Amino acid sequence: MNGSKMDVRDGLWYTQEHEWARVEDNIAVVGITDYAQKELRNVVFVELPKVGDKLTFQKDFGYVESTKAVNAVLSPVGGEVIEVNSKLEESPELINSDPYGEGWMVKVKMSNKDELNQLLNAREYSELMDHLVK
Amino acid sequence: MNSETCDRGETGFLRTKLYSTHIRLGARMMEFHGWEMPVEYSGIIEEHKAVRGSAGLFDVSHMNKLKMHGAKAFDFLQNISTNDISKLRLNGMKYSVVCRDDGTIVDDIVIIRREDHYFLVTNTSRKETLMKWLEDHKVEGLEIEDVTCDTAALALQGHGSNKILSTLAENLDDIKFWSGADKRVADIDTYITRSGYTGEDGFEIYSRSTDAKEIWQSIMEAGGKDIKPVGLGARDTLRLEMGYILSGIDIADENNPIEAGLEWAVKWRKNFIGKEALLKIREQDVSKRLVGIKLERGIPRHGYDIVGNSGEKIGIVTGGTNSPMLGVGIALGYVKSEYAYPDTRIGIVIRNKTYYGIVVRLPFLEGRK
Repeated sequence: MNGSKMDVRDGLWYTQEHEWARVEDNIAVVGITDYAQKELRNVVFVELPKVGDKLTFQKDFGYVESTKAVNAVLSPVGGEVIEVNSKLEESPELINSDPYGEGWMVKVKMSNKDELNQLLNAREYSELMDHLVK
Repeated sequence: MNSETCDRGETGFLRTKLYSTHIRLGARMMEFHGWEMPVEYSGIIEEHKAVRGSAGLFDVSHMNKLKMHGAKAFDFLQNISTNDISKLRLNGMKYSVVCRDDGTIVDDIVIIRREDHYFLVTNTSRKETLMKWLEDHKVEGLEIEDVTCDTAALALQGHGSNKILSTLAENLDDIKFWSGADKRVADIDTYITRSGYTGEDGFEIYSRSTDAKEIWQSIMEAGGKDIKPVGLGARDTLRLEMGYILSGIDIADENNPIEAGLEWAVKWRKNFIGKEALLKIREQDVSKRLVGIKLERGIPRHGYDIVGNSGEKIGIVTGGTNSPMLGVGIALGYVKSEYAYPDTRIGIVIRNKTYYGIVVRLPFLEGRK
């Protein structure tokens, strides 16, 4: 494997812990990256917050479980949950098959868009991939 | 002890002779009680289903392997075993538990009777505890030889195992379930038992560790598309589906074989260390029991609390996973005895939320061996 084999999408914001956010106006769609799902391998359970829950920037908001392990997912943005991907309850494997699409986790109404400045852009996250995956 | 013959990587951990094979196959390696072992290759679920569907090959050379020689070997083994070794025929194999005077468990072991010695397979995670206990109880006329590093162990598991191994070895059907025989596999001397830890038909193949690579390669080639290499991750999910306990996890120093559901391996008509204490425990009723639990949702894991209807703690999960075959969370755990009946509704607390399920009869997966 090498970094270029990891799918990194332009136009998204990334955390060092491998979550992504797709931002339109003040709404962010949030999920975990291709690298994160490959590290986890078979995702078999996803625990999500409820609509209306308040998420804090860089704090746990959900859990993704593989057969072997439990992994906390940190929120790349702070704000209020306005929608959750309830498909993941029945089909957690969507996180493996389509991490940037059908495997999205929550939609958040952001409370402070300045937090995005602390995230990585696609180029920076690709560099992180090159560094992590050799 | 001759652990100096073991390979050690730059990480300081022990490696089996198949280390480079695992790396070449793209295994994800992890440290397992001092050994660097493969957790998974293509993925736990895929490997699990390969074993249930056709065949899988495991490197279990890290398992602790002992030879017991000497005039007193039988007496000693009979004295430390809850099970009856006198019933063991040549090349027969028996599961047993080793207890302390107070009935608590040192380890569970497998004993194979060979021509001039007893061959024991014991748990890596409990090696230190067991070896010290054996040393403390050793008698004149008994020799204990640690052959862990000199002896490789492969497990070929799944209903396709017989067909695959038959292309490399003769007359495998001579080997009845839970017994062994000297066999040549691809012209290499091995000792094969028909046994395993998956609930499937299969073989465990012991050889000189220097021959392990060639045997592995021959079996993988013979299996072709019907076989997959399988790591310790799927070994755990496979044994959990069958409700097989794992020493060091489901039974540890504070547990006894009665509460762990191992009374079938305790023979009351013979003497053994811990017998008196166990008889007392049995009479005075057992306060907790190991049970199987199936959840409606959620994945139970080691250390989670088990609760009753009003949320009161009634026990603890020892091992759990998402069952690849059933698609639900399954667990082994101890509950207060009054809850240890099939269909009793219980909860398991996962990150402060209660997930409900029921106590079920083991194994979780039916219709296996």
